[in-house]
Amino acid sequence: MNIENTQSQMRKGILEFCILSIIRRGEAYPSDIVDEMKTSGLHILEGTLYPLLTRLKNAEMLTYRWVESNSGPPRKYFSLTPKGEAFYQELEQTWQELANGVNALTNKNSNEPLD
Amino acid sequence: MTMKKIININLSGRVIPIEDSAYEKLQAYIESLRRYFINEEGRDEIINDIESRIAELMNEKIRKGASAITDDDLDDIITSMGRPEDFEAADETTAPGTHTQSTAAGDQTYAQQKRPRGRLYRNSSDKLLGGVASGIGSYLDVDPAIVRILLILFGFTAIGVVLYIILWIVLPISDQNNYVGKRLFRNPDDKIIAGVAGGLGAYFNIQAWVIRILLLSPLLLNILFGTFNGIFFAWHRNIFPNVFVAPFTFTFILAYIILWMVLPEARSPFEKMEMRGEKVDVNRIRQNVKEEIKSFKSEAGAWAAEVRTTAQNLGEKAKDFSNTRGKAWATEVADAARPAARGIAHIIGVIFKAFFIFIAGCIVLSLFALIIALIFGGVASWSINDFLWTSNLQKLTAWGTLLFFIAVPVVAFMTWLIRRIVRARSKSHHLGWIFGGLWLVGWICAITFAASIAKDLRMYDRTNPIEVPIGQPATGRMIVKVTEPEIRYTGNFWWMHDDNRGWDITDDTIKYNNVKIRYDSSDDGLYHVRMYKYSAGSSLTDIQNRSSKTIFNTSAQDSVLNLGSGIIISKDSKFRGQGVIVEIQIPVGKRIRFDESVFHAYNPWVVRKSWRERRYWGNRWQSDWDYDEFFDLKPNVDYVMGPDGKLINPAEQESKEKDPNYRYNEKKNSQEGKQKQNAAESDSTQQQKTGKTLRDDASTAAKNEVDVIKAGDSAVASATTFFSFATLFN
Repeated sequence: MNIENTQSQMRKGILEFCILSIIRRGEAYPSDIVDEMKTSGLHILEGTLYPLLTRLKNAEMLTYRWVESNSGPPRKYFSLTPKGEAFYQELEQTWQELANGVNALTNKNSNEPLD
Repeated sequence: MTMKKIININLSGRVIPIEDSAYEKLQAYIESLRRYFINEEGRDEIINDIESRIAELMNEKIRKGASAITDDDLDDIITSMGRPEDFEAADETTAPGTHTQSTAAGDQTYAQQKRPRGRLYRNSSDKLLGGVASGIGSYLDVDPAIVRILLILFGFTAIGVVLYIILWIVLPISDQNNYVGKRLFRNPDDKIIAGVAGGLGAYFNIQAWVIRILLLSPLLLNILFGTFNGIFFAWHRNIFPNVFVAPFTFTFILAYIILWMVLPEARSPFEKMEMRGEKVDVNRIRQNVKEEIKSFKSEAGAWAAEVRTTAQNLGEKAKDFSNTRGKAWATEVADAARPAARGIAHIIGVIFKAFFIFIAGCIVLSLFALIIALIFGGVASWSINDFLWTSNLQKLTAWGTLLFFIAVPVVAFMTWLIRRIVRARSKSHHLGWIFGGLWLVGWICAITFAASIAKDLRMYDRTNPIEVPIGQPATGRMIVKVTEPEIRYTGNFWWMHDDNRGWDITDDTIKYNNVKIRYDSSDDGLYHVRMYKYSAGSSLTDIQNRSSKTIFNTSAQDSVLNLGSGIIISKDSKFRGQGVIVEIQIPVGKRIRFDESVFHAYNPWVVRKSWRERRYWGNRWQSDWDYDEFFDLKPNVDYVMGPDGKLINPAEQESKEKDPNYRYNEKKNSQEGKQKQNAAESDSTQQQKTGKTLRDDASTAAKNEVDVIKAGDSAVASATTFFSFATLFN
């Protein structure tokens, strides 16, 4: 069993959710998103982020607009669509279930051995 | 510290100075991203975004004081963006055949990743017609080009076509490019015509010239054998096995054209690596990109300067727009347009190009052969020249035409071909202008020459008749003979063989047997023989002059008319289609016989009836040469002159009447009833003993026959042949 594989699988599962939650707070552009993730302790590569964003945009969860910039090429600023909002709500619910369940299990694990 | 070359690149609308080694790295990185995202919908958008981000990062560095982006800078950037093998964003539910992750870093090539076999789809990103072959290739993990070739070889039948169309309709389409591995391409870096041989060489790892020799060998052999056969055996015997080689020529040419149509050209460095079957990884890509860069480095310098000035002039905002927002939109359009450019348009283009090349090749070959022949003929036989050209102008323009009009295009084409093969780059276009100019001179020569000759040939007519003195045959029968030996070639050319009968060329005379014999009934009960000499010329006087110099020997002795074997033309009268008609007038009821020597000397159809009226058609008196009624005259037969000017073969008429299968007999039956037929039949059995009476009856019956023949046509020939056999059995 490859631990990296499992780890990456775990991360993969929550990526979309994290990204959506960041964007939900306000318009964001990819570099911002990476920084936010970093401050929260979750590292993500830009090369991972871009395809995700594009996929979400194609699925109409996100929309973007161009913003001119003096210090570089124009940037895409992403924001959540209503569809994306609904999607986020569902994911949040799933996450709650998962988190509660996993926490419950692991707490039990550290407290009571299964007899 | 070594000075590295700095180039300016345009990334997402920004001009960035970067060291060339760093640029290679960048190229390789982007290429690896493209391959990684090969199945992503919106791949181009992703790449654009990433490029944009990279440009931004680079810009930051420049603003912080760097003069150019270095290798290290690029490493930072790549680390920040991440390498493809580290990406975790793969989504396994979008399209079938998406890639699972590779976990080992470093040299792992995602070319070797396992692709789950999904359903069979048509491939939308690589279709020539409907993407069926490409989809099959994707599904079976086979190079789509090979699928296409197999399809054409084995499936080009009615059933195959129908199956293809069914699959086209039934299979859903999807953008998938699952096949990774060695692909058969056309090689644009090694092409003379279309790069087919170059691509095959790269695929099989053979030198391209070997393949070219193989492909061309049947064609060359064909030409070679043909020439040898012609030179040594005058095409009588095919010692050299031309007939075995010819099918190969055709097959190879056809195969080349099919490969031209089906195989794509390898454009990007990645495709070129696929062509050679090299392992695809970032380092390899880098290598190939390096080689690419080497080839346009010199141009890059000038281009960079241009870019700088343009950027300053046009303003950066405008460029930004076109490259970022515009690009997003443009990529969608490009995606739609790309398959079409590969598909039908390409095939049609190939068909046109191949056709054009084929025609050009044929023309060149034939011109080449013509030149060789003319040189052979021209150089070795200055003597003929004097026979042909009436003036110095003609002579000059004739040679001018040969040199400039015919030789120049051939030489030009050969030069072009050789330069192509040797891969010589022409620095100037002067050569083209020179050839063009010479060819123009050739056109002028050709036109002048044609005009001059046409003037000379404007009319074709005859002189006034020359009476040939003869004695009236006492027996009532004239015999026409040719006792002079048949004309045969006696000149100096070793390559003219035995086929050349009936004409002869020596240094100062030409002889040939353009003689025709015409007969008619005589008005005054006496035999007459007249001679008309014909010639082409620019006016009647010209014709008279020329034809009067034609020599034709005739003599008469008792009842024998002896004709020469041909006409003789001397040097100064020039060859202008001279000919002679001998007109013989025969009194009605008298006989004439043509000895077989006549038919040997001239030709089997030489004797015909002469028309009373002459018809003027075009530029000549048609009646004398072309319009005569057909009459198959036999040698050594006594013909009798009929009252209407036609010769009758008594023996034939008799058999004709008797033969029930002879179709004109039936016609006669329907026209005149059976009585005459019966009478003739019963009479003929009795009269077989008295030959003379039979003949008289036969001649009257024959008159009817002749009427019917008149209404008939050349089926007479077969009929006469048929019952020539009948007479044998009688």
